[in-house]
Amino acid sequence: MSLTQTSTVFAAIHENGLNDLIEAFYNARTHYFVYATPAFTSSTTASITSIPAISFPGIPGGIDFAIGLRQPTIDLHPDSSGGSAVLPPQAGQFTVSAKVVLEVPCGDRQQDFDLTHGRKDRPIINASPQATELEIHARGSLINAAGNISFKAEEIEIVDIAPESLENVIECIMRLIVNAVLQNIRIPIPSLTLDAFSLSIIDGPRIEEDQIKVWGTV
Amino acid sequence: MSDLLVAADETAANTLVQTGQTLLGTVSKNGNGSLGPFNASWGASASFSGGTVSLREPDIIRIANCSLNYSLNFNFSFDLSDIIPDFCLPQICVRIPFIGQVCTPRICIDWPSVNIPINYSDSLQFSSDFRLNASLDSGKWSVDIEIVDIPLLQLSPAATAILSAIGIAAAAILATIPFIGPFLSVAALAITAAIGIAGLTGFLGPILSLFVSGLSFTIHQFDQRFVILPATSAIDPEIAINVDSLTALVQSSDEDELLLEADFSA
Repeated sequence: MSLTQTSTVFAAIHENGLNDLIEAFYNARTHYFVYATPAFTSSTTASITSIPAISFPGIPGGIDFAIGLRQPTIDLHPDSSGGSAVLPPQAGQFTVSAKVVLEVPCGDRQQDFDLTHGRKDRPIINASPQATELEIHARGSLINAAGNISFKAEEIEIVDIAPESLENVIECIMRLIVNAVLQNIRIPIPSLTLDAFSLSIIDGPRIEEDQIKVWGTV
Repeated sequence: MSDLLVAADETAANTLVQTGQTLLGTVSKNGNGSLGPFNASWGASASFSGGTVSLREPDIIRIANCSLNYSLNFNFSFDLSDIIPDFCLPQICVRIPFIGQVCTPRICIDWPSVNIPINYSDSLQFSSDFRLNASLDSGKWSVDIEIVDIPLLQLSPAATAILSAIGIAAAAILATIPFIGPFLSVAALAITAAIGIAGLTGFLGPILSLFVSGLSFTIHQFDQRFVILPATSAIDPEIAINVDSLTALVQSSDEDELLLEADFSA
């Protein structure tokens, strides 16, 4: 059976290549994977995205935190883990695994009074940062959106959290966060042909044989 | 298994070849050659278009009926005396009563050298096999197809047309030469005869063969550092991968396909 089948062009990226691509994405635009409040960063850079602290009555400046995904790894169906995968990819699915680091400064924010502007928050003092690292596994499928291939997580699993209700709450939050991160990772379809063709997709993207496959015409 | 695999059927390969022909554009060459007994300087330009692509394992792209579109201009100069003998009108003397002997001067015709410029454009078709080759040079990957054998070029129709054009151009130029009138048709005929179809074919062959000998089309080219996403702001720099290896080959199953296999790294 030919690769192009009834189309004129076929392109496939293997999961190894896909992970190289994600590494390139992660290295260049780390800020899509790392988010932090003003206690950690004053502005958004290529490495970190500045987000507001969680507002809470009685906590001046809100609750500061930082959350970051380490470089994720994607496994395209079939399962390449040798049976050890927490969420093995099913037909047509991918699994993404990553470590999530959550850090809070855990200290008091110093306050003083500015005659012009009222109360003024100053950096947290006596901070004793607390951090935890969670291993998350998500399973999902591809999205073909406006000429780009993107990823959507449908299930998420975090190991070693108890009680189960806490795990469920955290998994719910993490699914939102992981999807927010994944939607920034997009692969322009023309790059799958090394720009050799201006490709109109007629079939795919499909996940098969550890690859993302597309078929199209020129 | 390679990181990236692209397969193109013969229809898509045809598109790549057309791209290669466009990228090559018009090629120009010039030189000197023998045209029959005469020397001619020439300039020529050529481009390629069309053809039907078929793929052959392991790495052959066959192009049938590819058009070689060429423009040829040449100028050949020669001494007319080489083909028409110089001659002299003898001195004639007559005795005229009361005047004496009157003689005409001896008039010798030394035929001049003439230049005949010829411009000719035409196209001819050829078929040939091209071999796929992927190479990295100065940070750019190129997928080229290079001609395997020099094809036989059918030059007879062009030679006939050019020879006819030479005859017409020669007659026009010769007509301006004093005293040539009685020799005009002889001279024009002598020129075309001296060149001949075979001579002209022999002249055209090496010139046009220059364009197909070693002919290579770059059917695809891209930077080794291949940009997946361009930079959009200071915090969103470009995302690029390094294409470490690239292989181009033909694979046959129930269909013949051109394959590009690439491995890359972040």
